[in-house]
Amino acid sequence: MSRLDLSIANVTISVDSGDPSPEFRLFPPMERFVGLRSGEPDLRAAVRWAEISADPPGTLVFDSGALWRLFRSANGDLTYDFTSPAFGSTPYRRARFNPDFSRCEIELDPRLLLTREALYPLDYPLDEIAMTNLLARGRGIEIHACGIRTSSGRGLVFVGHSGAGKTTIARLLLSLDGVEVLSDDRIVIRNVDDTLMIFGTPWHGEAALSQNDSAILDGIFFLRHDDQSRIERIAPGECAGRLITCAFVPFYEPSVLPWTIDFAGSIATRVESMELAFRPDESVLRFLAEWTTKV
Amino acid sequence: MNQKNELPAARKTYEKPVLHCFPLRAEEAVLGFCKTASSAGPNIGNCATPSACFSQGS
Repeated sequence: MSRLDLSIANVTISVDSGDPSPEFRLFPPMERFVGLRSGEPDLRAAVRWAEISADPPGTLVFDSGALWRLFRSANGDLTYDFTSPAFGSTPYRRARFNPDFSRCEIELDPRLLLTREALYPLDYPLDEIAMTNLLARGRGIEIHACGIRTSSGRGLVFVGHSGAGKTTIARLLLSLDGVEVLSDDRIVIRNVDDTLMIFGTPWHGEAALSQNDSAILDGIFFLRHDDQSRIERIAPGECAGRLITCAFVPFYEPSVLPWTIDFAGSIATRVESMELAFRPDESVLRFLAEWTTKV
Repeated sequence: MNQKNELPAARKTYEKPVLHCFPLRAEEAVLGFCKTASSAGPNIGNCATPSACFSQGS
C-alpha cells in the first residue's frame, strides 16, 4: 500500500508516497479509521525517503522536551523534526506543514529507518499532532477523556489527566448493556449542524478501546478518585477551564488559541458538566445510572 | 403608566469574581512523550526506536 486515506471525527487526511516510495502499513485500531477518498481532504500529505539534514529547518518555535521540535521557516511553514534516543540528535523524520495545515511533506531518513519494511508514515505523535492542529483551526477539540455512547445513542465523556481513572471507568461502563466505548483515552468534540458531537479516535488507553463512531454530547464528567462515589454539578466557567487543561491543543501556536478557548466556553455553556468523585468499583455505576439509562 | 411609580426589577446579588486555577500537564498536552504498555502517564525520554513508539502518551 502506498496510499492512505484516513477519516477521524470527519477530519480527512490523505497520504501518498512520493518518489522513492516507502510502503505503508496500518496498525490496529487505525484500520477502523480508513476512509474513502472523495473531494479535497483536510490535509494532503506526501511521503518520501530522503536523507535529512541535521541543520535546523528554520527558527526554533518549541521543543517538546523529548520526541519532537518545531521550527518556523521564513515563509511561515511549520516543520516538526522527530528524534529518538536510539539515533541521537539527527531527525529520523521531518514533517513540513503549510501554515493552515492543508499540505504536508514528510521525509523519512533511509539511513535510520528500515527501507525494506512497510511502515505507518504518520506514526505517533505525527498523526495526532496533525489532527490537533487541524481541529484547532476551527474544527473542534481533542480532549483527554473516555467517551461512551449509551444504548439510547447519547454521548458522555469522562475527562481527566493520566491516572484519573479514564480506563478504569471505561472498563466499568462496558459492563452495562448497550454501552459502546468510543475511546478510553482520546475523544474529539465537534459542532456538527449546531449539535455538539463526540467522536471516537484511534488513540486509546491501556484498555485498547477504540471505535470509529459518534454520539450527541449529553454530559461531561471530570474524574477524581475518592473513597465514596458522588456527583457534583459545576459551573460553566469551571467546566471551560478544566476542559482546556485536559485538551490536546497546540499551545505553542498562539494564533489558534482564541478560537479553541471560545469553543471550550461554548461547550461548557451548552452541556451539563459535573465532577465525578468515584471509587474504582461497580458502585459508581449506580451514580451514573440516571445518565447511562436516559432515553 | 408612569414608569417612575413601578417597582424596580429585582437586582441580582453581586458575586465577587473568583479566580480558579487548573493544572495543565504540559508534557501531555503537547504530545511530547510516549508511554509503554506497562505504565500509564508520559514516559520521559524513554522511546527506544521509532517503530516502538506508537503507544500514545496517556
